[in-house]
This record gives sequence, C-alpha cells and structure tokens, in this order.
Amino acid sequence: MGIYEDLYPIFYPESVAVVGASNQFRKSGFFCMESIISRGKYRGKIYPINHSASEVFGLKSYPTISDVPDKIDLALITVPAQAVPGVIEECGKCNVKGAVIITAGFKEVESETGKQLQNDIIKKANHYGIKIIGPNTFGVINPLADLNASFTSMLSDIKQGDIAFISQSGGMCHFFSYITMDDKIGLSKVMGLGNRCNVEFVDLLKFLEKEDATKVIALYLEGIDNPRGLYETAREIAKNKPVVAYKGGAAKGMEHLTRSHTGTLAGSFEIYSGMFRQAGIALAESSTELFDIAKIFSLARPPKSKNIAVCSPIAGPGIVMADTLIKNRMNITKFTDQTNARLTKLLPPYTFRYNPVDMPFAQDIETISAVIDCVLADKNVDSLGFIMCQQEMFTPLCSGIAHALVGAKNKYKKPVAVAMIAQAYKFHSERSYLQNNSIPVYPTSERAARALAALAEYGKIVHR
Amino acid sequence: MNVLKKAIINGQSSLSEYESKQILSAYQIPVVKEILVDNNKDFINALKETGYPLVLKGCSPRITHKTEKNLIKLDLRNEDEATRAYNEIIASIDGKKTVLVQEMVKGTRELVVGLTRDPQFGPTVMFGLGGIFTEILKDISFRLAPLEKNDALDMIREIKGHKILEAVRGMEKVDIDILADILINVGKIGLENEKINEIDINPLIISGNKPIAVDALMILESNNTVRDNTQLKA
Repeated sequence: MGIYEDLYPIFYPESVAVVGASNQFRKSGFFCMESIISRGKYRGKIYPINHSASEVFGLKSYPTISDVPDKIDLALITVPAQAVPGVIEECGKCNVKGAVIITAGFKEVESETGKQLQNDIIKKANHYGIKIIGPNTFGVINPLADLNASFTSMLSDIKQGDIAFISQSGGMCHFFSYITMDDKIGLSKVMGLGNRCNVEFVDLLKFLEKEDATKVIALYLEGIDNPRGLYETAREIAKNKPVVAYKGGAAKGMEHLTRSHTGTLAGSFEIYSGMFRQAGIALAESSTELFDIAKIFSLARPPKSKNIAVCSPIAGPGIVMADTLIKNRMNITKFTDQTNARLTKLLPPYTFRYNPVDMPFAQDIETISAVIDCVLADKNVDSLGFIMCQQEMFTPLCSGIAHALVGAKNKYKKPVAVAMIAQAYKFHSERSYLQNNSIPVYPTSERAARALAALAEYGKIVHR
Repeated sequence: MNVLKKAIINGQSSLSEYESKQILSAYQIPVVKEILVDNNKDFINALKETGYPLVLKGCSPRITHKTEKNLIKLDLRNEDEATRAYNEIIASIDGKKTVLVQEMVKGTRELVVGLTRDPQFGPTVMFGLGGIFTEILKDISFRLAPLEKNDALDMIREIKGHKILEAVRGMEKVDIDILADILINVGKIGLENEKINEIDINPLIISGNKPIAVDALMILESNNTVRDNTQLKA
C-alpha cells in the first residue's frame, strides 16, 4: 500500500475510538470528546474508551478497545504516557488503522523514560503497520470529513477549503486556524505532527499531493527529519500545487569546522532559503505572511509575468505598495501609449497618471471602473494591486469598486489583490464579495504586495 | 581523479591552487593559464611562455590564504620585476618552494563560486560577488546539488548585485550560459568526489564577457582538519 492509502483512515475514518474519553472537565479526554461530539459535526461512529465509566458524553463507553464490537479506523489517544504502549499494542491486535496520540511526555522531555516510551510505541506501531500522528500533538483536523480529532473544540468551526496546513507546532496550528476563520478562508487539513514517530513531513506532503481537494500546502517547520527527502518531494509537488513554508528555530548543525570562505558564509538560514527557492516553495518571513501567501495561492491564479500595476485613491499606501513590490523583484510596468492616452483623458492632470496610478480625483464609479478596465486591459500588465480606503468620499463607492474589480479581473483573467485601508469591522460585505470572487483582501499595502510577489514567483514554475 | 588520489595518499588536508584548478579543468571550468615551477630554469622558460604582465604566487597545499602572507605578486611587467618577486616569494615560503607563473587576467568584475557540504542537505553550491568584498557584502545565493540549468540561472539572478553581469559602464554583458555551466559543474564535483569537502573559486574574474577561475582552493575531508585549522586561517 502507498502512503495515501496508509494515511487515509486517519483523515477519513469511518469510526473513531477516543481512548481516555472522560466526563471530567479539564481532562484532555473531555476536550477531545467535546471537539468530536458536542461542537463537532463528525458523522462516523464514535466509541469512548474509559476503564470505569459506563457512559461518556451520553455515549456507551467501553473499558478497552478490544471490547468494542466493531472495527475501528482511528484511535484518538489521551491516556497518560506510561499507558500508551499498551494501547498501541491493543490497537494492533484489533486492527486499528491509525492513531493520533495527544499525550505528552515522550521524546520531548528530559528524562530517559520518555525516550524509551516513544521507542516502544514506534516498535509496536511499525510491527502492526499503524501510522501515528504525534505523540505530543494538539491533534488533527479534517474539515473535509467534518473531523476534529484535537483537544480544541473551537476549531470544529473551520470552514471547508483547499489549503492544508502541516505544522511541527500545535500552537502554530491554532494561529493559522484562527486567522483563516476570522478571514472566512477555508482549510482542507490542519495537523500538528508532534514528535513524529513514523509519519513525517514527507509522508504528509505525498498524501496531500494525491488529495485533489487540497490545492495549496502551507508548512510550519523547525527541524526536519529528512531534509533531502523534503526538498525532493516538495520540488515535485510544487510543479502542480503551490507550497508555502515558514521556518522557525535557531540555526543548528553548522558548528562544523570550516576553512573556506564558502563554508564560513553558508549559514543554515541561507541554505534553507536557497533550498526553498530551488524546490519552488514560497518562503514566508512571518506567521502572518505564511497565511497571506497561502490565501493568495488558494484564491488567485498565478500571473504570466512580474509586470504589475498599482492603483490607489491615496498616494502613500500606493507608494508603499510599489516600494514593496520592487523590493520583491516585481516590475512596476510601463503602460502602453494607448493606456496612457486613455488615463490622460479619464483623470485630471493634478495627479500622477502613470504607474502607480494615483486617483484621488476619480470620485465617480464610472471613472474608477474605466481606469480599472483600462489598466487591466494593458498588455504590459499581468497583475494588479489595488487600494481601497474608508473615507467619506470613497466609502459610498466601495461596493461599486469591488464589482468593477471582479468584472475586470474576470474579463482579462489577471490576478488582483486589494489592500483595504479601513477599520477591521468595516466593509464586511465588500470583503466577502471580493474574496468569494478570487480577489484576496489584505489590511496593509505591504502584505498585499508580498502576496502578489509570491504569486508571480510561483507563476514562473507554472508557466515554465 | 589522479590529483585527488595522490593528495589523499600524501595526507594533504587541502589541494594547492594548482591542483584545485586541475580538477576544475577536468570539469570544463575555464581556468587561468598557469605553469608551476620549482627551479630557476623552468621559471625563466615559464616567463617566456606566459608573456607580460604576469602574476606570481607561492603555491603549496599548506598555503590557503596567500594574500595575508604576501605570497602574491601582481602585474609584473618584465623579467627584472618578475625575478625580484620570485626571490621574495621563495624567501617567504616554508617548506617546498614551488611558484605558479600565471597569466594576468584583466577584468574589474570579480565573482565567487563555492561548494560546501551542508550536514543536512549535502553538497551545496554558492554564488556571489567575489574578490575582497565577498565576506563584507555577503551578497550570495545557495542551491543544492545537482543543479539544473534553471536553478543555476535563478541563483545568478538572486544576488542583489546581479546587474553587474549586464552590459554596464562600457563592460560587456557576461556570458550567462558559461557561468551557469560552471555552477552546475561545481555541484557535480561535489557529488562525484566525496573527499572534497569545500571549494572556493575566488575570484572568478569576468574577462571580456567570459568568466575565468583565477584562484581556487579545495579543502579535503580529513582527520587532520582540527590540527591544521589555526595555521591555515592565519
């Protein structure tokens, strides 16, 4: 069997056993039950496993896995570390396909016992052919199967979407989930890998490559178990699905002696960033940027070139956007004479009518729509960064501008991103309308620009 | 590869400049024309064959940072100058007195190409601005070997100073194809010769529009590395 078939039961289980399920608030077995039952929408069978209780969360409970009169695909394990090897042994005997081990206290702790327990688990799991996510993970969420196998029930509210997030850290999973939920962006997977017993980044990349519903892969990594394998796998996948990564953790492993200039200059960050570029992975420089780039990859199609136009009703954010684009190797393109002639007619001579287009005096929707159309029609323009602004003159126009942007984007099939200079809770319907129509919206010019640049960079691979 | 085998048998911890360039040549990397001499008669013949201006360098696997030790004499314009320089170098070398007689390559654009073995990713190629500014500007990019042509072209474009490779200030546009092949082949050296731990080609000078390796250093995998380290970096 391939890795896709091996991992499928973990993400799309027909039945889940929660080992350590509990009615007692504050136990992780309680929170896991809440995730999967109370708040969750999971429609498969759920079997609480608890030594003493006869019912957990209103469901019949069983003392051990072997007592369950049904086959079990996934075991979600929350019992104390010392009990885990025994549970895995039982899972193996009962033909359980996969396990998510929430429990901490293994390789990550200082004591030798933790390491021994983990080795014990690996040995048993490999013997029975059980794939394990964790231990020491917050869990796994597959919105596509309405499955929240984690200890955070809030995350059952994640929308279905096409971005998969794989993370070394559960904390980053929470960050990524909340920022996407607030922005109404959907996800196809969220998973914390924890201590990585027999499932590592490369395996999950291979699984996600085969899963059609996942269109974008976002990674948060610190160390890597199999760096060369990650590079080679990602390089293959990136040809078909965009991958964006954020690398945390201090440089390690470069303390080896070196006597050449090259050796002295080769820090681990420089080599990682070269490796990411070479593999075709977009490199995010912050956790927000990891989300920003994943979002534009999910919503927009990559442009043919790095030639871009910027339009803004307010000069500063337009200039900052152009600066950031240039710093990120985008080309603030020269318009054709025809475009320049049209813009000269449309806009009064008080502002800069070339690229970036400064349009504070375009205060009717007809003029603004005509400017947008004429800029995107230009053959020297392959993408557009547009700035919208909460200001009494423009606020009434925002809905019309959103429609004009969507119309022109669809007509010319060129990606557009918007920087919305406004209070976070304003323009709710415009934001949704734009993002539902494949125009990502960002709160600052710089964030929109960095996302547009990453999209154009990925375009080089797609259009190679 | 004979040069490499011999060096390993001799217990060398690095290759001399001359040996390093023999390996580069074997991998189709253009190197400066040079003759290695260890006596006066060969030296005089080498002067005639090379022509002026020329460069003299003290050459031995024990010497890795020549500038600091005053073992490089540039732009020598006649036999008198060359002979005086030769005697000075001979006087400063400890051990075997061998000297490289080298054609003086003209070109204001200096690049660096290198190889390191990353403990995680294996042989990794470096490209950047060369000469005395390499370690000050750190304008460099890295790619894992093996490199495809696209990888090589992309790493060339990645450095901030990549515009110096274009036709600027009356200089010719650099032959990027040759440059890309050099990067690919340095990666190949790393993949095919496990005993070579690190490579520096610095400077790789742009002469006309073509890159040419003017100085080179190869560090070998060696248990003696620790002992030799202080001496070599001095």
